[in-house]
Amino acid sequence: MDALVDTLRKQIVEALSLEESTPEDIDPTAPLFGAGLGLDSIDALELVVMVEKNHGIRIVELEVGRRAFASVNALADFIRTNQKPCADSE
Amino acid sequence: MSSHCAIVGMDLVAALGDGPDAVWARLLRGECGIRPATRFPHGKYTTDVVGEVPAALLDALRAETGADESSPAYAMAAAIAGRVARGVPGGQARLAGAHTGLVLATTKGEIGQLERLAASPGGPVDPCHNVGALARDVAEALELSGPVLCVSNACVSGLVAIVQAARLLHRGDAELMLVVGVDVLADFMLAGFSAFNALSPTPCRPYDAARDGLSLGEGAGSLLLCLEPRPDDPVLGEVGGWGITNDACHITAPSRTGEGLAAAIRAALGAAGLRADQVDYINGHGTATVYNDAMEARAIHAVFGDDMPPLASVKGTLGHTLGAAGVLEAALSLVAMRERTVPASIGLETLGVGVPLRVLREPLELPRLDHVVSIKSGFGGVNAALVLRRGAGSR
Amino acid sequence: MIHIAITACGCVDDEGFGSARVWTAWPQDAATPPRLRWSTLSQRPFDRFGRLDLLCKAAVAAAEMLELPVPEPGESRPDTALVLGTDLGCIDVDLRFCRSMAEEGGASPKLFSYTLPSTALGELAIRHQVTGPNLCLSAGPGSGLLALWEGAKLLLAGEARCCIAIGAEAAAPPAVPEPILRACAFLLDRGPTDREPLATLSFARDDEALCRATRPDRPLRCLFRFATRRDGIHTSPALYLKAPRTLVCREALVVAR
Repeated sequence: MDALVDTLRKQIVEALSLEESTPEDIDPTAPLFGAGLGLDSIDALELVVMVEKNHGIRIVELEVGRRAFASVNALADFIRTNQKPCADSE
Repeated sequence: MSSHCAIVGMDLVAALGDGPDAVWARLLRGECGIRPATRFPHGKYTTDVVGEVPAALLDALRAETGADESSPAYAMAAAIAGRVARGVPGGQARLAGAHTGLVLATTKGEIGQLERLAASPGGPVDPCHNVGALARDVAEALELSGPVLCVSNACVSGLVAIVQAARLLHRGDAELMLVVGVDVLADFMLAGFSAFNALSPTPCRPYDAARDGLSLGEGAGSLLLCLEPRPDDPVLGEVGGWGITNDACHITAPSRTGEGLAAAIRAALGAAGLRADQVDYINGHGTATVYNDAMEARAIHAVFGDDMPPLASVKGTLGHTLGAAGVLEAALSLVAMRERTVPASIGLETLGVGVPLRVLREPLELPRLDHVVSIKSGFGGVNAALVLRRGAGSR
Repeated sequence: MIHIAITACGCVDDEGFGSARVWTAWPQDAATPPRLRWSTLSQRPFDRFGRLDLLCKAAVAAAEMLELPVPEPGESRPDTALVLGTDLGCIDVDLRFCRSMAEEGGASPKLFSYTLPSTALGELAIRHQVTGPNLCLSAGPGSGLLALWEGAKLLLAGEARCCIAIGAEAAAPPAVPEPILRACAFLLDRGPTDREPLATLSFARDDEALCRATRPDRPLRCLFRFATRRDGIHTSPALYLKAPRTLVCREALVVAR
């Protein structure tokens, strides 16, 4: 299992105080909003803060956020694509 | 349910300045009190413009009350309530001698004190911004012996405080009731509303097609209520009735249908014994967020139909004054009745709320302005509507 | 003589939780006060509970002890008011929000939505589809008892038929020196009602209500706990400055030890 996906599931549970769910409960392919976890608009804003705080990426456009939060897998892809490369990579 | 009572005193301070007459005059001239912030860093939040009470005015209010730099909420509330107390025939001595109570409306009270303590490392915080204590402090400054409490009901606090004062009068718990609404701008709410993406980067535009969020403001308003005014009391207006409901949908977003707000308006009209077509002016909530204004428009249209009274929001010039809004805007509504003039809804260029709405872009003088409905909605899904009547003391 | 019925009451505090019907003490090894977990408090589902701040958790937990029906889709209760009285208010989350303002990524929107004491009323309104009048007040110690008083007065004035009246104080260090958890909820009914009331509030005078339990063998533990803070002396909502109102609880004082 993808380490980033695992980390994100933990971070989502923590950021949104989903006490009745464990990270393992979150299906990485399932939609985050609407059905499933039943997250709402405040949760969306909180996830934006979480992504900036934990991954240093700022989501400014609503449409960008919508695509990034489509599922945990989508979020992982988004972060990988947008993360600044490390100075000592390669 | 009996709800009627008389309003025999009022005062206010806001971004446009000091006192109902000065603020009204600037409002009619179309001035905008939402300006580049002087007390907050630019570029830190999602807006740099706010409706600050001018610094010199805030200093003067501190001097009036002996408050120090750390208590701007107390300074504004005590100063404005004090002026109202002194302004009525018999003055403060009359209030102190009678059974006079106080209801204070605020969302965050003396929030600066919490901010300062939060910034200092370690140690427990003394709950110094306790809103009940703020109410008690203002009451003690005025030597009031009647019931004292704080109403902290989000953005409807001001209207609910007026209602609570009327309730206490009708129960016989007091002879006179002072109502004070106050909120002070602080990083706390700038940061919070920024995090919600709810702030407009420019002065807000209630009901406009291009509206993109609210502007925050600050200020204080005060009213003095009683059941039986003395012959020499100026009756500036009357509380006619009220309605308070909850959307029961979401803790911050308004319902999409507006039925909760419509129910509150209908309840207020019913309590006041008024038909919808007897309302001359609506003091709208008009925060200029996409959803609030659309919901409010639906509610107003549902109650009043196409042939609705004119409507204005003052938040396009004063900003959203949170806990003070209900009292401050009610006071301005009394001035509107006195002047028989509906103010323009500053910030509006092109209506865009999805339903017909009679929002004015220029002030309108009317042959008759006897009944106003003031409406407010707040976080937590609460809606409130208040019917105000012209006072016999208004020429 | 006008009577308001108390048809249910519930309480959550640092000793345990329950209603007039049943009381559960926290386990010996629990923290004082314990962290509230929904699955401990109720069999009914409520996924949102974890997100609530301390004040909302306390208020919602106490209200859950009332065993109000969770409505069907489309059902609502416009005839029911919600009143909350709190002295400390949401100071706990206020401080946590203040601290989040300094963090990388910026202030927390989730915390901000709870930085109003009235948000607890919003949560309850949504859960039980209660759409009647709301009142959130703060008047120093005794604010909770004042909520009960104001709720009853709302019913007497005809503004609602029923009222959920809640008093709640909940905060943890560093917002307060010692952790505090104390919340009581009452369901008031102007009647007529089929439910046998637990107690009646009788208003023979405007400024005094006599609270009488209908079954002296079933103590109004919640009222007693909240009104007396366990020291056997009843506390009046004396924050009406220099004009105290008294809530006389004779039978409750006699039977509750």
